Amino acid sequence: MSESMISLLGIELAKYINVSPIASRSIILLAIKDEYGSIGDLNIDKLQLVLSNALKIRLNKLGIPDIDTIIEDLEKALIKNQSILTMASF
Amino acid sequence: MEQVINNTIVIIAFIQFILALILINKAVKTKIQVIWLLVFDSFAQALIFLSFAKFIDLGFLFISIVGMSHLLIVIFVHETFYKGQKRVYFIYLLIIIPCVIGYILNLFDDSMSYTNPISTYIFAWYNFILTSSPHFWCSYVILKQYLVFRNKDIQPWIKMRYLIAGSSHISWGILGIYTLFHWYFFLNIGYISITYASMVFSIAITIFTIGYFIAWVMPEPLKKFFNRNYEISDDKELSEEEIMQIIKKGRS
Repeated sequence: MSESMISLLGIELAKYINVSPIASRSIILLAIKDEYGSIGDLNIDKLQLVLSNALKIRLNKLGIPDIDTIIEDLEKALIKNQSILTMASF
Repeated sequence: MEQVINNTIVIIAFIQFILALILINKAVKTKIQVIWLLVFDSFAQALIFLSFAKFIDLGFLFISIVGMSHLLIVIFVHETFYKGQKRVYFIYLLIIIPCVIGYILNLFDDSMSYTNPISTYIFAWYNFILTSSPHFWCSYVILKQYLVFRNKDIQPWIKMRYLIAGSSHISWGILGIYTLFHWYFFLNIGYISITYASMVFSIAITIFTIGYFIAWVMPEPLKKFFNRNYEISDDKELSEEEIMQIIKKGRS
Protein backbone atom coordinates (compact mmCIF):
# COMPACT_ATOMS: atom_id res chain seq x y z
CA MET A 1 0.00 0.00 0.00
CA SER A 2 2.96 2.28 0.51
CA GLU A 3 4.56 1.59 -2.90
CA SER A 4 3.18 4.77 -4.43
CA MET A 5 4.40 6.84 -1.50
CA ILE A 6 7.88 5.26 -1.67
CA SER A 7 8.00 6.04 -5.40
CA LEU A 8 7.00 9.66 -4.73
CA LEU A 9 9.67 9.99 -2.05
CA GLY A 10 12.15 8.34 -4.42
CA ILE A 11 11.44 10.95 -7.08
CA GLU A 12 11.90 13.68 -4.47
CA LEU A 13 15.17 12.20 -3.15
CA ALA A 14 16.53 11.73 -6.68
CA LYS A 15 16.45 15.51 -7.15
CA TYR A 16 18.97 15.96 -4.34
CA ILE A 17 21.43 13.10 -4.84
CA ASN A 18 21.66 13.09 -8.62
CA VAL A 19 20.63 9.48 -9.25
CA SER A 20 17.67 7.90 -11.03
CA PRO A 21 14.34 7.64 -9.15
CA ILE A 22 14.77 3.82 -9.15
CA ALA A 23 18.12 4.14 -7.38
CA SER A 24 16.80 6.64 -4.82
CA ARG A 25 13.72 4.46 -4.29
CA SER A 26 16.05 1.55 -3.57
CA ILE A 27 17.87 3.63 -0.96
CA ILE A 28 14.53 4.30 0.76
CA LEU A 29 13.58 0.60 0.58
CA LEU A 30 16.92 -0.36 2.14
CA ALA A 31 16.33 2.23 4.87
CA ILE A 32 12.89 0.72 5.57
CA LYS A 33 14.50 -2.73 5.87
CA ASP A 34 17.11 -1.25 8.22
CA GLU A 35 14.35 0.16 10.42
CA TYR A 36 11.78 -2.65 10.38
CA GLY A 37 13.52 -5.69 8.91
CA SER A 38 11.05 -5.98 6.04
CA ILE A 39 8.77 -3.90 3.84
CA GLY A 40 5.37 -4.33 5.45
CA ASP A 41 2.41 -2.04 5.71
CA LEU A 42 3.69 1.42 6.43
CA ASN A 43 1.77 4.37 7.76
CA ILE A 44 2.83 8.01 7.93
CA ASP A 45 4.33 7.68 11.44
CA LYS A 46 6.43 4.65 10.47
CA LEU A 47 7.67 6.39 7.32
CA GLN A 48 8.53 9.53 9.27
CA LEU A 49 10.68 7.39 11.57
CA VAL A 50 12.43 5.80 8.57
CA LEU A 51 13.27 9.23 7.16
CA SER A 52 14.62 10.66 10.39
CA ASN A 53 16.53 7.52 11.44
CA ALA A 54 17.59 4.88 8.92
CA LEU A 55 17.54 7.04 5.79
CA LYS A 56 19.56 9.74 7.49
CA ILE A 57 22.21 7.16 8.46
CA ARG A 58 22.25 5.69 4.94
CA LEU A 59 22.65 9.08 3.26
CA ASN A 60 25.42 9.87 5.72
CA LYS A 61 27.21 6.62 4.80
CA LEU A 62 26.88 7.50 1.12
CA GLY A 63 28.56 10.83 1.82
CA ILE A 64 25.61 12.94 0.71
CA PRO A 65 25.93 16.59 1.80
CA ASP A 66 23.22 18.71 3.48
CA ILE A 67 21.29 15.70 4.78
CA ASP A 68 19.13 17.67 7.23
CA THR A 69 17.64 19.78 4.43
CA ILE A 70 16.97 16.67 2.35
CA ILE A 71 15.23 14.88 5.25
CA GLU A 72 13.22 18.00 6.05
CA ASP A 73 12.00 18.26 2.46
CA LEU A 74 11.22 14.55 2.29
CA GLU A 75 9.17 14.87 5.48
CA LYS A 76 7.28 17.78 3.92
CA ALA A 77 6.62 15.68 0.79
CA LEU A 78 5.44 12.81 2.99
CA ILE A 79 2.97 15.01 4.85
CA LYS A 80 1.78 16.78 1.71
CA ASN A 81 1.11 13.52 -0.12
CA GLN A 82 0.02 11.41 2.87
CA SER A 83 -3.45 10.73 1.44
CA ILE A 84 -1.99 8.32 -1.10
CA LEU A 85 -1.24 5.86 1.73
CA THR A 86 -5.00 5.41 2.12
CA MET A 87 -6.20 6.16 -1.39
CA ALA A 88 -3.87 3.61 -3.01
CA SER A 89 -4.32 0.95 -0.36
CA PHE A 90 -7.35 -0.97 -1.64
CA MET B 1 -43.87 10.10 -10.46
CA GLU B 2 -43.40 10.20 -6.69
CA GLN B 3 -43.40 6.41 -6.56
CA VAL B 4 -40.65 6.21 -9.20
CA ILE B 5 -38.55 8.74 -7.28
CA ASN B 6 -39.09 6.91 -3.98
CA ASN B 7 -38.15 3.58 -5.53
CA THR B 8 -34.98 5.13 -6.97
CA ILE B 9 -34.04 6.52 -3.54
CA VAL B 10 -34.64 3.12 -1.90
CA ILE B 11 -32.41 1.40 -4.52
CA ILE B 12 -29.68 3.97 -3.91
CA ALA B 13 -29.99 3.35 -0.16
CA PHE B 14 -29.40 -0.35 -0.72
CA ILE B 15 -26.37 0.42 -2.90
CA GLN B 16 -25.02 2.41 0.07
CA PHE B 17 -25.61 -0.62 2.31
CA ILE B 18 -23.71 -2.83 -0.14
CA LEU B 19 -20.92 -0.24 -0.29
CA ALA B 20 -20.72 -0.27 3.51
CA LEU B 21 -20.44 -4.07 3.55
CA ILE B 22 -17.69 -4.05 0.90
CA LEU B 23 -15.82 -1.34 2.79
CA ILE B 24 -15.97 -3.43 5.99
CA ASN B 25 -14.08 -6.13 4.13
CA LYS B 26 -11.51 -3.58 2.89
CA ALA B 27 -11.10 -2.05 6.36
CA VAL B 28 -10.48 -5.48 7.91
CA LYS B 29 -8.05 -6.54 5.17
CA THR B 30 -5.98 -3.34 5.06
CA LYS B 31 -6.25 -2.57 8.81
CA ILE B 32 -6.60 1.11 7.88
CA GLN B 33 -8.80 2.55 10.60
CA VAL B 34 -10.08 5.57 8.66
CA ILE B 35 -11.90 3.27 6.24
CA TRP B 36 -14.31 2.53 9.11
CA LEU B 37 -15.40 6.18 8.88
CA LEU B 38 -16.48 5.53 5.29
CA VAL B 39 -18.27 2.36 6.44
CA PHE B 40 -20.32 4.19 9.07
CA ASP B 41 -20.93 7.07 6.65
CA SER B 42 -22.36 4.68 4.08
CA PHE B 43 -24.68 3.14 6.69
CA ALA B 44 -25.76 6.63 7.77
CA GLN B 45 -26.39 7.70 4.18
CA ALA B 46 -28.46 4.59 3.58
CA LEU B 47 -30.61 5.42 6.61
CA ILE B 48 -31.01 9.04 5.46
CA PHE B 49 -32.13 7.92 2.01
CA LEU B 50 -34.56 5.35 3.38
CA SER B 51 -35.99 8.00 5.67
CA PHE B 52 -36.32 10.48 2.82
CA ALA B 53 -38.20 7.87 0.80
CA LYS B 54 -40.46 7.33 3.87
CA PHE B 55 -39.34 3.70 3.94
CA ILE B 56 -38.38 4.13 7.60
CA ASP B 57 -39.09 6.90 10.10
CA LEU B 58 -36.04 8.22 11.92
CA GLY B 59 -38.05 10.94 13.69
CA PHE B 60 -35.93 13.31 15.75
CA LEU B 61 -32.86 11.18 15.00
CA PHE B 62 -32.91 12.33 11.37
CA ILE B 63 -30.89 15.50 11.97
CA SER B 64 -28.38 13.61 14.14
CA ILE B 65 -27.81 11.02 11.44
CA VAL B 66 -27.50 13.65 8.71
CA GLY B 67 -25.02 15.58 10.87
CA MET B 68 -23.15 12.38 11.75
CA SER B 69 -22.88 11.39 8.10
CA HIS B 70 -21.39 14.76 7.12
CA LEU B 71 -19.14 14.71 10.18
CA LEU B 72 -17.81 11.23 9.40
CA ILE B 73 -16.84 12.14 5.88
CA VAL B 74 -15.14 15.35 7.04
CA ILE B 75 -13.19 13.42 9.71
CA PHE B 76 -12.18 10.90 7.04
CA VAL B 77 -10.81 13.64 4.78
CA HIS B 78 -9.21 15.39 7.74
CA GLU B 79 -7.42 12.23 8.91
CA THR B 80 -6.44 11.16 5.41
CA PHE B 81 -5.13 14.50 4.15
CA TYR B 82 -4.24 16.63 7.18
CA LYS B 83 -2.40 14.43 9.71
CA GLY B 84 0.60 16.30 11.07
CA GLN B 85 -0.53 19.54 9.42
CA LYS B 86 -2.42 22.60 10.52
CA ARG B 87 -5.95 21.33 11.06
CA VAL B 88 -9.07 22.98 9.65
CA TYR B 89 -11.42 22.75 12.59
CA PHE B 90 -13.80 25.43 11.30
CA ILE B 91 -15.34 22.83 9.02
CA TYR B 92 -16.57 20.88 12.06
CA LEU B 93 -18.36 23.98 13.31
CA LEU B 94 -20.10 24.35 9.96
CA ILE B 95 -21.71 20.99 10.66
CA ILE B 96 -22.27 21.15 14.41
CA ILE B 97 -23.81 24.66 14.55
CA PRO B 98 -26.46 23.99 11.85
CA CYS B 99 -27.29 20.68 13.57
CA VAL B 100 -27.94 22.49 16.85
CA ILE B 101 -30.08 25.06 14.99
CA GLY B 102 -31.94 22.16 13.37
CA TYR B 103 -32.70 20.63 16.77
CA ILE B 104 -33.96 23.95 18.16
CA LEU B 105 -36.05 24.49 15.06
CA ASN B 106 -37.61 21.07 15.33
CA LEU B 107 -38.62 21.79 18.93
CA PHE B 108 -40.90 24.55 17.70
CA ASP B 109 -41.92 23.33 14.30
CA ASP B 110 -41.27 20.30 12.15
CA SER B 111 -39.54 22.18 9.35
CA MET B 112 -39.55 19.09 7.16
CA SER B 113 -43.34 19.39 6.89
CA TYR B 114 -43.04 22.91 5.38
CA THR B 115 -45.98 24.27 7.35
CA ASN B 116 -44.37 27.52 8.41
CA PRO B 117 -42.59 29.80 5.88
CA ILE B 118 -40.22 31.27 8.50
CA SER B 119 -39.02 27.93 9.83
CA THR B 120 -38.77 26.65 6.26
CA TYR B 121 -36.60 29.66 5.44
CA ILE B 122 -34.31 28.93 8.42
CA PHE B 123 -34.38 25.25 7.53
CA ALA B 124 -33.23 26.12 4.01
CA TRP B 125 -30.25 28.09 5.32
CA TYR B 126 -29.15 25.62 7.96
CA ASN B 127 -29.54 22.77 5.51
CA PHE B 128 -27.51 24.71 2.93
CA ILE B 129 -24.64 25.26 5.39
CA LEU B 130 -24.89 21.74 6.81
CA THR B 131 -24.90 20.05 3.41
CA SER B 132 -22.91 22.29 1.09
CA SER B 133 -19.99 23.34 3.25
CA PRO B 134 -18.65 19.89 4.25
CA HIS B 135 -19.09 18.37 0.83
CA PHE B 136 -17.66 21.31 -1.12
CA TRP B 137 -14.75 21.32 1.32
CA CYS B 138 -14.16 17.57 0.84
CA SER B 139 -14.38 18.02 -2.91
CA TYR B 140 -11.88 20.92 -2.80
CA VAL B 141 -9.36 18.97 -0.68
CA ILE B 142 -9.55 15.76 -2.75
CA LEU B 143 -9.51 17.49 -6.16
CA LYS B 144 -6.66 19.78 -5.08
CA GLN B 145 -4.59 16.67 -4.34
CA TYR B 146 -5.67 15.19 -7.66
CA LEU B 147 -4.26 18.25 -9.44
CA VAL B 148 -0.96 17.78 -7.53
CA PHE B 149 -0.76 14.15 -8.68
CA ARG B 150 -2.18 14.64 -12.18
CA ASN B 151 1.19 14.85 -13.93
CA LYS B 152 3.14 12.65 -11.52
CA ASP B 153 4.22 9.09 -12.13
CA ILE B 154 1.38 7.49 -10.20
CA GLN B 155 -0.84 4.67 -11.42
CA PRO B 156 -3.84 6.21 -13.23
CA TRP B 157 -6.43 4.25 -11.25
CA ILE B 158 -5.24 5.99 -8.10
CA LYS B 159 -5.56 9.38 -9.77
CA MET B 160 -9.03 8.37 -10.98
CA ARG B 161 -10.01 7.49 -7.40
CA TYR B 162 -9.15 11.06 -6.37
CA LEU B 163 -10.96 12.53 -9.36
CA ILE B 164 -14.15 10.47 -8.99
CA ALA B 165 -14.38 10.70 -5.18
CA GLY B 166 -13.71 14.45 -5.26
CA SER B 167 -16.22 15.08 -8.03
CA SER B 168 -18.92 12.99 -6.33
CA HIS B 169 -19.03 15.38 -3.38
CA ILE B 170 -20.02 18.23 -5.71
CA SER B 171 -23.48 16.68 -6.20
CA TRP B 172 -24.14 16.80 -2.42
CA GLY B 173 -22.86 20.38 -2.37
CA ILE B 174 -25.21 21.39 -5.18
CA LEU B 175 -28.04 19.70 -3.32
CA GLY B 176 -27.32 22.06 -0.41
CA ILE B 177 -27.53 25.07 -2.74
CA TYR B 178 -30.81 23.75 -4.05
CA THR B 179 -32.38 23.92 -0.58
CA LEU B 180 -32.15 27.71 -0.79
CA PHE B 181 -34.11 27.72 -4.05
CA HIS B 182 -36.48 25.22 -2.54
CA TRP B 183 -37.66 27.81 -0.03
CA TYR B 184 -38.47 30.13 -2.92
CA PHE B 185 -40.32 27.34 -4.74
CA PHE B 186 -42.19 26.48 -1.55
CA LEU B 187 -43.63 29.97 -1.27
CA ASN B 188 -44.39 30.43 -4.96
CA ILE B 189 -45.36 27.03 -6.26
CA GLY B 190 -46.48 25.11 -3.20
CA TYR B 191 -46.92 21.36 -3.11
CA ILE B 192 -45.28 20.69 -6.50
CA SER B 193 -41.95 21.77 -5.06
CA ILE B 194 -41.86 18.72 -2.79
CA THR B 195 -42.01 16.38 -5.78
CA TYR B 196 -39.48 18.58 -7.50
CA ALA B 197 -37.25 18.50 -4.42
CA SER B 198 -37.46 14.73 -4.27
CA MET B 199 -36.46 14.54 -7.91
CA VAL B 200 -33.45 16.83 -7.39
CA PHE B 201 -32.54 14.87 -4.24
CA SER B 202 -32.75 11.52 -6.03
CA ILE B 203 -30.62 12.75 -8.95
CA ALA B 204 -27.98 14.19 -6.61
CA ILE B 205 -27.73 11.10 -4.40
CA THR B 206 -27.69 8.81 -7.45
CA ILE B 207 -24.69 10.68 -8.91
CA PHE B 208 -22.98 10.74 -5.53
CA THR B 209 -23.57 7.07 -4.73
CA ILE B 210 -22.54 5.77 -8.16
CA GLY B 211 -19.41 7.95 -8.07
CA TYR B 212 -18.56 6.88 -4.54
CA PHE B 213 -19.18 3.23 -5.33
CA ILE B 214 -16.87 3.34 -8.36
CA ALA B 215 -14.22 5.32 -6.46
CA TRP B 216 -14.07 3.12 -3.36
CA VAL B 217 -14.95 -0.30 -4.68
CA MET B 218 -13.07 -0.05 -8.00
CA PRO B 219 -12.81 -3.68 -9.10
CA GLU B 220 -9.57 -5.04 -10.63
CA PRO B 221 -10.84 -4.96 -14.27
CA LEU B 222 -11.64 -1.26 -13.88
CA LYS B 223 -8.20 -0.58 -12.34
CA LYS B 224 -6.63 -2.39 -15.31
CA PHE B 225 -8.76 -0.35 -17.69
CA PHE B 226 -7.58 2.93 -16.15
CA ASN B 227 -3.99 1.62 -16.19
CA ARG B 228 -4.21 0.41 -19.80
CA ASN B 229 -1.72 2.97 -21.14
CA TYR B 230 0.50 2.96 -18.08
CA GLU B 231 3.64 0.92 -17.80
CA ILE B 232 4.27 -0.08 -14.22
CA SER B 233 7.92 0.74 -13.56
CA ASP B 234 10.41 -2.05 -13.01
CA ASP B 235 10.14 -3.06 -9.40
CA LYS B 236 13.73 -4.19 -9.35
CA GLU B 237 15.38 -3.26 -6.13
CA LEU B 238 19.04 -2.22 -6.36
CA SER B 239 21.59 -3.65 -3.97
CA GLU B 240 23.75 -1.50 -1.72
CA GLU B 241 26.78 -2.05 -3.99
CA GLU B 242 24.84 -1.06 -7.11
CA ILE B 243 23.63 2.13 -5.42
CA MET B 244 27.18 3.01 -4.34
CA GLN B 245 28.39 2.50 -7.91
CA ILE B 246 25.63 4.71 -9.31
CA ILE B 247 26.38 7.49 -6.81
CA LYS B 248 30.14 7.32 -7.48
CA LYS B 249 29.45 7.40 -11.22
CA GLY B 250 27.20 10.41 -10.74
CA ARG B 251 30.01 12.31 -9.03
CA SER B 252 32.85 11.38 -11.37
